Amino acid sequence: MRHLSKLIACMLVLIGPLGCKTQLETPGVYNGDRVLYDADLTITTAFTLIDSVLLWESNNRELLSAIPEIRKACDKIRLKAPPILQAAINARDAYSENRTTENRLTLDGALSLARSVANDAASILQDHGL
Amino acid sequence: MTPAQILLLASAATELLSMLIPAIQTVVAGGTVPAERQLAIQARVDRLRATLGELPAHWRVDVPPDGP
Repeated sequence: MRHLSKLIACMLVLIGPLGCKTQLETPGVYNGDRVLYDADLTITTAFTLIDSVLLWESNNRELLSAIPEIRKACDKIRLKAPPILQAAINARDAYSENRTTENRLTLDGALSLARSVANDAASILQDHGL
Repeated sequence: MTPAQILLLASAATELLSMLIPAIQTVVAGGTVPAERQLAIQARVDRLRATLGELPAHWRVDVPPDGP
């Protein structure tokens, strides 16, 4: 089961600042802008990862009560993640509207926090040998 | 934990993995991203805006009746 957390860790690396070496077909909704595409991919992947861990914990709460730390850690993420994801979307929208260096830096910071909270979710699995 | 609990936990981990596979497939897809996929990813962000406005039940912290 340890492979599960490793797989998730790899996923987080792939949505990291380096990204994967992809190109965008044009015309497309991003008009070839990799920054915006990478931002959307990071935000949605972080949400999917966090959502999957929280749903899994909720669906298996009775079984996981043998390890109460899992629920505590998930509850922390339940409180922490929504404002971080919202801030990432806001920064993404601001960059989309006005592609300045300042907005790009704000976006980078917001995406870094989104990756961090997704990493927290993955750590729950890793910390418990899953 | 009992062996039965460990087996159930393994099953739960497998369930989690199956939930994550679509996201993994999206992230690892290399090459040129077709216009349809770009549209789909942007649509996911739009859906996420709505989801964050009204979070699903499994995102809510259940406060015990005797307080936090």
